[in-house]
Amino acid sequence: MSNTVLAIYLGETYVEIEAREVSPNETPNKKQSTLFHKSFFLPQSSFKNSLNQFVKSLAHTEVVIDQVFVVTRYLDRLKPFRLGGSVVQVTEKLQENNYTFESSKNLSLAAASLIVTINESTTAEDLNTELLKIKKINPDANKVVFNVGAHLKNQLESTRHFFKENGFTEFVNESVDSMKNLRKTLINAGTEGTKEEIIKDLVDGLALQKLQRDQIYFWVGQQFTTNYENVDLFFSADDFLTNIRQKNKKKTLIHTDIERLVLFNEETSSVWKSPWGSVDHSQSINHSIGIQPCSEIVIDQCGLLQFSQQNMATEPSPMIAGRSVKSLVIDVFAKNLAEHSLMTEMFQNLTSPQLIQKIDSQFKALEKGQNQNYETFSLEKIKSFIIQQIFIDLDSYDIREANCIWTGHLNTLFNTQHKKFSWTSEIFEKTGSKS
Amino acid sequence: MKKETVKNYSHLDYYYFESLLKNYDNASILNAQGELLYSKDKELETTLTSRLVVFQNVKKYLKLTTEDVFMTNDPENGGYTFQKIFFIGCLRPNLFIVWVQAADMIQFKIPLSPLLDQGHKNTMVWDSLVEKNPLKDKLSDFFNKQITRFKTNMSSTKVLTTLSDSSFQSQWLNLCKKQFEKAFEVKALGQHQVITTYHEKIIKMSIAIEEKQHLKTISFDFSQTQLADKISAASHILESAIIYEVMHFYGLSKYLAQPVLNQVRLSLPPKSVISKASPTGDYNFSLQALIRQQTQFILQFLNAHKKNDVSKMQIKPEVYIQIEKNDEFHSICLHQLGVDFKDLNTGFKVVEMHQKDHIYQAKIQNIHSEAVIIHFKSLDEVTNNSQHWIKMNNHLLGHGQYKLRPKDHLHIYWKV
Repeated sequence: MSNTVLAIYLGETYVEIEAREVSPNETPNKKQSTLFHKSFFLPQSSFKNSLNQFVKSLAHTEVVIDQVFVVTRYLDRLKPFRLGGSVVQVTEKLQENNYTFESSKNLSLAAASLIVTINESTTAEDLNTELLKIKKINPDANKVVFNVGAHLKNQLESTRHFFKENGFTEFVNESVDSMKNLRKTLINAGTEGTKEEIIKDLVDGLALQKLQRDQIYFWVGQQFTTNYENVDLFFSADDFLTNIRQKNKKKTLIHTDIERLVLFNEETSSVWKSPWGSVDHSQSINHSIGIQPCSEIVIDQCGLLQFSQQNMATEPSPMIAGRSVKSLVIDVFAKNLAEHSLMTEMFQNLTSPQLIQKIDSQFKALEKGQNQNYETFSLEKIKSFIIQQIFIDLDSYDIREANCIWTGHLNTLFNTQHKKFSWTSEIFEKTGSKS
Repeated sequence: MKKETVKNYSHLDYYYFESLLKNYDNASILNAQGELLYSKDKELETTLTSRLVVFQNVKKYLKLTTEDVFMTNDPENGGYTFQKIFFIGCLRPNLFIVWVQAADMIQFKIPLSPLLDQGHKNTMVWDSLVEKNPLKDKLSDFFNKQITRFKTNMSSTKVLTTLSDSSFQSQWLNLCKKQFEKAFEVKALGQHQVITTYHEKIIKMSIAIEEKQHLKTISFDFSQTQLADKISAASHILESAIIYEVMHFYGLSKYLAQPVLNQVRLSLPPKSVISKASPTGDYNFSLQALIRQQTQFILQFLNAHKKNDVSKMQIKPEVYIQIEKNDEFHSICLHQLGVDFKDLNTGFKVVEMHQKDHIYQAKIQNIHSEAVIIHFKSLDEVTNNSQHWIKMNNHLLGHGQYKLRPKDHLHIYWKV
């Protein structure tokens, strides 16, 4: 029987999984044999199905999963949405939704109908009535956030006890005066379901391999850990890339991947300007560069070619995934990606002449659809514009080659000298840093 | 590292400007002739044409060389209020940047002064403006950030070379003109006028959108607007609001350059409510809000299929509050489409703070031993209604400055 360590990059749109066989009391390294290494495009294959494919590959072998190391951006999927649909908020009267007192542009973090106010005279009967109301509105409500001052200590204790008895997972805002902290607590509660979904997929999917919950480590800050807040998972990939930059003693890290094009330098921020409002959280700042790979290429009302601001990765997803007839920036690089084994595994039609022809035809149609009184853009011209735009943005960061590291699956598109990037190889390099 | 040479990509060339201005919210790029090449405005209080006025002032009196940066905040010479600092930098002999950054702690006038001389801090100005000021650390941080921004731009050499090239500029300006003509064609022609009263002064805005002998123009005429006495704003303040709204309405924000600006004709009678500059710009916020709303209304009216739907203009409430406490400043902006409190609770006792059905209600108490100064700017005529009001100790606030004494309450009720 051998032990196996699993490295997973669970991105916003794709997952990369690699399993390596490890002898007991040994940390994984490059010399050890890779049992499985594959990427899956999430809109086509869910995380659960991706894990199933890994499990199938283990058929007739007795593999025990020793540890799972995860770097993630999966929670970024939640960024366009309101949170807190199944979160009850216990607060004081006249303090309801006080976290919204920053900007009305921020997305909501709590359902107004799931607010319970308490005061000195709140009784168990009152709480029972509130719970009945809540269950009527949302029978699935199973998380509760407490935002109550110290002067209501006794009521807070009895209310916490009440919700605990009724099966709720609790999140307590310890510093009631800080809206940034309250938002953090609400985000922790609002993302609990998604985090639990990831863990459940792993534990259920790898049950035969005897995986336990406490063997799942997420990268947070400078290490893999089992001790984290959900809000930390928004920064898992950024923290991981920052660690790569620091360990390599470089000032700049350029990350060009199929999900995003970003640059990290030594700039940090202590506040996260989240879509739901400001939250106290130290982080490395990521600077967006060029035009993002999942922007849609569109023709505007004047017949001019433009790039949309929205991320269209999941819906409709790029043409290279074989689902869509809408072209995204990443589709421009279809022929280049076809030379990358991990990409052809993920986008299985990428090597098919039919798909390449379909993409070519789509871009020809886009070219014909442009206003002929202006300069029109062919696929090749769009590609050279996109590449130039990346270098223009990089130009402003005063980057010296010797002080720069380039990561991401698209890195070889910009310079063939770069080492082919793999999230999981990088993860295996760092499995020694864990708590 | 491999670098592509910067090529022309027709209408997509606006990406070069966006790349250059990615660290700015409010900025313009101009050439040596003072022609506007590109403009970016993200704030409600726009300084679009004010930046052009400030640039002309610099050009008139001073000679800028590469890596020079000047600054000012004088509301009587192109500025907005003392808190909005204008920076004018020379990127290349034929390329200039003018940007505006708010600094709430600056409560004094900065006449046109050099910040950088050919890339080096002007020590005389730095000493008197920063080093000798009790807010030295904050000011130093603020001005150093502006210098870093400018120096970041200076390192974008390939883009700067392209953008300063006169043949690139002329091609870009022609493209912007073409874009204007295209956008003009899809909107309605016609004339209309709106009359509003502000502090008992009549403001009459007439619009004429017409095409005569292939010349397409959008004209705003404020003849018959009353002369100013105590309350007024400089013409460039209101022109900024008009141009911003027109560009937004015509979908031309990316192509706002000199040829587009030339097609918008503005006639504001001198010494009137909407043209006379005031020393501190006290009414700039509210008059700009009023003119912005008038412009939005008049453009919508002309383009509406059913005129009855938009036949009467209703002024919407807008408020700007600045809370000043021991050299700490906190700004709040409230309008009908949204609120921006920036964490109102900081430094106060919160008696109540709640929001339901988009009604924001807050009551905060001054728990400090000293008074807090409230600078209140608003369209008074509409901010004292049942859905939008601000009270201090149960007394409604109107445009002005107030002292929130220890234990006093500030009460906000605002429906979005």
